[in-house]
Amino acid sequence: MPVQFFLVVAAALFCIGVTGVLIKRNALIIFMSIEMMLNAVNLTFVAFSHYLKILDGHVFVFFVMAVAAAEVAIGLAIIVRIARNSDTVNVDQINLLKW
Amino acid sequence: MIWLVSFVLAVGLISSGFMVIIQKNPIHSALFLIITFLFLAGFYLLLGAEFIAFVHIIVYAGAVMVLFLFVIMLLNLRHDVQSFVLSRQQMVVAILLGIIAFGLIVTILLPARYYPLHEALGTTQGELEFRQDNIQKVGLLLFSKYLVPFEIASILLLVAMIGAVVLAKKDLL
Repeated sequence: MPVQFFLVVAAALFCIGVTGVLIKRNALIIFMSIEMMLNAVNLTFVAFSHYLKILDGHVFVFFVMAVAAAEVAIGLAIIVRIARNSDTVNVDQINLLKW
Repeated sequence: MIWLVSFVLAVGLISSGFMVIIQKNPIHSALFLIITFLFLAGFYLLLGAEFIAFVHIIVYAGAVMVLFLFVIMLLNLRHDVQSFVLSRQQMVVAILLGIIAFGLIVTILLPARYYPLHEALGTTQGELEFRQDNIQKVGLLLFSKYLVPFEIASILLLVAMIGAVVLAKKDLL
């Protein structure tokens, strides 16, 4: 399997995540699209690690997963606080800082 | 045979990823994201990354998505169906931007020359040696070459845990 196949699949998943962040107004679904983008990058790392026959890509995927898990914990705590405060998770209505 | 498996996995991955962003109900979105992660674990197994595949299922499909579903059900978002409040023109522009981004990335990826590392370095690492003892070799790398990032990642997780506990309190600290 040529490595370009996995790279194109990862690029498509990344761009689906970008479209999800642009289209949706629900803060949780935007967050899920960001997780999809992180996973597309993970697939790129593993594809190159398989192509170059080297395991450093796997180690970097390990670190990306650790950072993503930490980010999800903090991000969901923030979203829960915001939803308790303003009673919505629609990002268009969370505009208290808008001038 | 391997082409068929990778093609089926790719079609499944892209279609379930697409279904994530077009659902109205956020619980359906989360479930389709879990299916996307399972297809992605299949890709990792195809690429010979068994450790990453299982850690991916445990961490993402088993912990992160469960956390997402907890929060969705806690906030009781079933009747929040006002997800598509963009006008039709804005939606078309956003989808077009996504397609253009994909086109740009693919334009850079496909004509590039890919040199295998052993050709570039002049040595040859056997493929069988690469595929054996995946977990052992990743562990050896983590504790020798990437020791400092490993320790910093553990501090990062500690900070994230403290931050989540502080954010979840009712009164301020």
